[in-house]
Amino acid sequence: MSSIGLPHFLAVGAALFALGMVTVVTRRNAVGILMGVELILNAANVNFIAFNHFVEGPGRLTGQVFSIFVIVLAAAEAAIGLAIVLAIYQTFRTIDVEETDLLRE
Amino acid sequence: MANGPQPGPPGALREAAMRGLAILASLLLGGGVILARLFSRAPATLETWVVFCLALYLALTAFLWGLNGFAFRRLPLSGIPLFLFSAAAFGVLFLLGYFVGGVAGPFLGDAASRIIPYVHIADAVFLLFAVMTIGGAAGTAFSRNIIYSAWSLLFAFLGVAGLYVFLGADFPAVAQVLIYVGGVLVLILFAIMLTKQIGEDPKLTNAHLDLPAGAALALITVATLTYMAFMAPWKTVASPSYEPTSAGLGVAFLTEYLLPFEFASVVLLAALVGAVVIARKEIKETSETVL
Amino acid sequence: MTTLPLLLSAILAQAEHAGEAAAAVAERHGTEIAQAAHVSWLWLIPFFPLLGSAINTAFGPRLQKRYGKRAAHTVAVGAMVLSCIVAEVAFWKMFATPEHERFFEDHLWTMWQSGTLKVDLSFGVDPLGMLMTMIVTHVATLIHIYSTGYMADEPAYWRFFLWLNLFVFSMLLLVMGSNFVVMFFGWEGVGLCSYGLIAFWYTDIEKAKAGLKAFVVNRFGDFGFVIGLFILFWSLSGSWQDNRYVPDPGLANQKVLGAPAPAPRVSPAGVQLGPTMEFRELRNQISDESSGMSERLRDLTLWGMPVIALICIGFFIGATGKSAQIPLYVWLPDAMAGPTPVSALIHAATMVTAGVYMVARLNFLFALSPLAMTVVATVGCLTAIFAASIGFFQYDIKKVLAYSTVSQLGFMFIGVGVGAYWAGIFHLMTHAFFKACLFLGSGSVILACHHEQDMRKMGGLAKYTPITRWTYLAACWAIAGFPFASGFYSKDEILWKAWTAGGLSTPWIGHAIYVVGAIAALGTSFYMFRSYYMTFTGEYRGGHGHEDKERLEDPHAMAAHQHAAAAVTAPNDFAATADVVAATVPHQHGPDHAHDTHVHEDAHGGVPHESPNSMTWVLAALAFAAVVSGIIFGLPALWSGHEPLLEKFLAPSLPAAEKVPFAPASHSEELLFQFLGVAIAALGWITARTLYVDAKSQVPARLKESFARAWAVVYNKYYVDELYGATVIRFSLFLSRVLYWIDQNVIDSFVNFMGWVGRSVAYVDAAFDNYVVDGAVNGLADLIMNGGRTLRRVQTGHIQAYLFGALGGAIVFVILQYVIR
Repeated sequence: MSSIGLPHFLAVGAALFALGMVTVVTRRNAVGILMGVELILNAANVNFIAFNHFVEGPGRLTGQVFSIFVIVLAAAEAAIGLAIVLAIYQTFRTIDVEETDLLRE
Repeated sequence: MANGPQPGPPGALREAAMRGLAILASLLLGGGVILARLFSRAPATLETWVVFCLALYLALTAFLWGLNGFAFRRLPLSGIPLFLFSAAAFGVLFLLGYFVGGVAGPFLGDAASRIIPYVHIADAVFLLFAVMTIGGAAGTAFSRNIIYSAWSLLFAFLGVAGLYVFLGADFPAVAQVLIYVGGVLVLILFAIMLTKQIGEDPKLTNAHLDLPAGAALALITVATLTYMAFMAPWKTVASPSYEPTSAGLGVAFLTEYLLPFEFASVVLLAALVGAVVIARKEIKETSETVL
Repeated sequence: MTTLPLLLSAILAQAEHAGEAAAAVAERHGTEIAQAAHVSWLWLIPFFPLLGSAINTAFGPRLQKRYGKRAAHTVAVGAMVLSCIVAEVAFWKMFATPEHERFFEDHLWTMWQSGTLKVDLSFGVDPLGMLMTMIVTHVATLIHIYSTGYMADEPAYWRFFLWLNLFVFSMLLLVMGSNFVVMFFGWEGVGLCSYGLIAFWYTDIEKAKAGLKAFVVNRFGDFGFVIGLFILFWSLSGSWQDNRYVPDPGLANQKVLGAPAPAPRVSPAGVQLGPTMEFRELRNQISDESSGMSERLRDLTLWGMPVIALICIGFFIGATGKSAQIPLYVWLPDAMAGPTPVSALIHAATMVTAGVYMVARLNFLFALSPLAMTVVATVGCLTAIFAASIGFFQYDIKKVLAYSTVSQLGFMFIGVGVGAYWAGIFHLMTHAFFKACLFLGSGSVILACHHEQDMRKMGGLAKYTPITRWTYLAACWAIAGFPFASGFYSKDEILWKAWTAGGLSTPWIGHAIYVVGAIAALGTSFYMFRSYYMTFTGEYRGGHGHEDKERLEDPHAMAAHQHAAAAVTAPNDFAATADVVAATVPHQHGPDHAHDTHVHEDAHGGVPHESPNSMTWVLAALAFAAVVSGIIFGLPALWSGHEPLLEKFLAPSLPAAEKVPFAPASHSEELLFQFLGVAIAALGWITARTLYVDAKSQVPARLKESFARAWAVVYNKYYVDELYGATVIRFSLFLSRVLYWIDQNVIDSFVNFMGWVGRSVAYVDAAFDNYVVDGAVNGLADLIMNGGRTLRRVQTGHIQAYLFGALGGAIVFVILQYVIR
């Protein structure tokens, strides 16, 4: 029997999430931020599927269904994000989020 | 060995062929000698060691000479320098081989023989995927080049797909590869290409805002979540299953999760339309602004 | 006005059912245990006087100014009449109830509850309480009516009636309260009202002092009352274990103070045991043979003394204060400073009998302790003879009556002390009639003689004031114990019971009490007829004005004279009014001081005159009651063949009466003692007639000269006031001087020291305030300012920065919530 259990997958998920968070928080590049969001979503998916596998038990697929929905939403989000990045680029002539601080005003 | 490398097309072709033959011969000789040495049942005497070393030396010299025609064009070795160089190389290789075979090899072999029984192959695979995932994610997060970030993301996605397989989720694994690697990643690369003028503004490629603070936050988060993952009393099932799940997912999507499924399709459609609208509008504005 | 009878009838109908249910309960448990019938309208009896008092308090001055004095007395008398009617209804309802169910209760609400102490505001009347209620309401109503005549000239008319109504309310609380606390409220309330009424003319320092004296002396008694109550409450606590009622360990051994009260403890007969404030519950506990409570109380000791005797003597000390017994009687003669109706109502008929009422009420307690009974009877007996002897030589007619009252109260205490409870109450009742009549008669005489109280200046009033004379004479018959008059029956019953008493601690003491009591009765007869002959026979010796006031020996008359001068400058709105009224109305009968205000310019006078109708009718009614009440209520078994009506009526209230033993005696013996009583009364009468009729005899003067020193001692009341002055008061003054010195030197210096400490601390505090507190405040302000300046940068406008904050906060929250805990 493998010694790899649920906590290991959750740890991987946590690492993914943390790195995604760092990416989102620290990147100046809007596209980089999009990548961070994808990482965070993947972290969630890892957790979903790990719980599905280890907790939900055989024959139950809720976690996997959720992960599929998350993947779908990630795809949509990527499309929209790309569009927004493009819009930002067209507006500010840059995708440096340091410059896009309209919220400040 | 009197005929050295001769310039000129006809001579060159023949010389190249000869050097190629020399490499082949040296490899055959060296390999044969080594194999003969490794598989000979006769006890290793001084004569055989001398013969063995000489044969290897000759093979190395021939190999170097042969290589000289391809790799070291600018280093013409022939005659005495070739033999001297070959002897030096042989000495170095000998010492190296001796070290590997006589010191490090046995040590590593022994260590491996002690460790390997405790390492399950599944654990190794998991570790492989985990390292791949986390490494990819780290590259994404910390790489200074946005292109490298994107390629690192590819590894992260693939690693996650591997983890899915490892968890018995075959359909999500495939979907991960298809959608993320095939769709999202391509989109991101498109975004990079559409926005970044490579070489024009290197500062903008992939700088960080406040990396130490972010890293600290990440560290704390990882520590906390990992601690919780290992400390929490999870109610796990006794024997997780590894059955194929595609059929089950299909049934679930069309029965239990029909409404969310339909909503997901609507969301995708809306995203499609929205992306088009947003991007097109801005481009129109831009064209007006520019023109 | 028409709604009131409807309301009453509705309430009555409702109460019937409650009464039936309670009767059924009583049936089940037998007659030994008194069960209460709920009568929901009992509270109306004390309520009406309270209402009247409240109205006069709030609106009295305005009503009187706008509608005249008629308004004030209409309110007061109306309230009394209503109260009387309700009392009558209750009385007849009680009469219609079977004997053992005559316990009416009206529980209004629980005032407080603390551990085993539960104090309800509830009224309860049993036959004893009913009798007292009837006496109080009826006599008070008559005296209210009398006062409308007597106080007609009083400017602060409304104030008089508000006090009078409040007094009746308090007195009704006292007699109707179903527990000790309500009774104590009434007990204190009547003390307060007594103070207010004695010192009614408070601008006269002597009268104010008399009121204060009454108040202070009563405090000594109340202290005894409260101590007795505490010991009683303590001694009742216990729990029912092994068929025995064992004492509680006390607070010290209880684990938790304020722990819930222990489970109810019930005797085999169904009586709940334990500390109680309710008279009826206490009575049941002691009467219930199966509870063993009476044995326990008898055996219980406190610091080596029997608890039951301590309790009873504590209560009796309260009674001596309120009922003017030795040693606390000194306030009552001085209380005559109050208006005469007040003397009649409070200091003769009702309030001073409260002590007797209480002893009778607690008869089951007193019956447990022969020692306490002996103390009560002995003190009563001594008081009777002592006060009677002082009464012999007084010249002030009200003083004579005051000492007579003290003496008669002594008789009552003999009655309740020897165990003849009903006889004591009987004497209380008859005394209420004849002494009220005597006092009101004296008031009438005083008015007739233009506020003259000295009997030496009266005489021959029989022809001027015939109604007063005949009523006074009838009351004298009654108090002296002439045959067929009420006093004869009551006093003889008391003395006869004293002779045969078997429940006292020493066998011969009953006989001794009889002898002393008989001498006191002789004295009673003598001084009452002396006062009658000095007042009503012979020639009128009084002046025709007030010019000879200076020669009076009586301080109160003097005080009244001084007050007359004071009233002119009295800072009272009504004083001026009174002057006007007095000047315009040529001859009005009013209180002395108001009268005096116009004496100075118009030395009015002339012959004595009869009082107005409102007074004479009251006198007649009281005289009638004084004469016939004895025959009606107290005809002895020797004469009628059955037990006296009153005894039969009171029997349910006096469970201990059956348990006190009396020596068996033959009819002839009892008859002999009755003849003896008549002979004593006749002897006193003949002596008084010989000496004082028509003021012709020179014997009194000669006797006075030959025994001048003894006469002075008795005339000056045995110098008891001086004795108290030399001991109690001097000691108090000394103590107060010591305390003053301590106050000045020790406490003041301590206070000054504390002030110095306070100042020093204040300096330190000021420094602290300036540097530390202000520094902190300013520092905080700077900190906030700089912090704001710094934090302004946080508002970057970057979503990422906000996100960083949000995620960091979430992580901190998670760590705090789940990891660290």
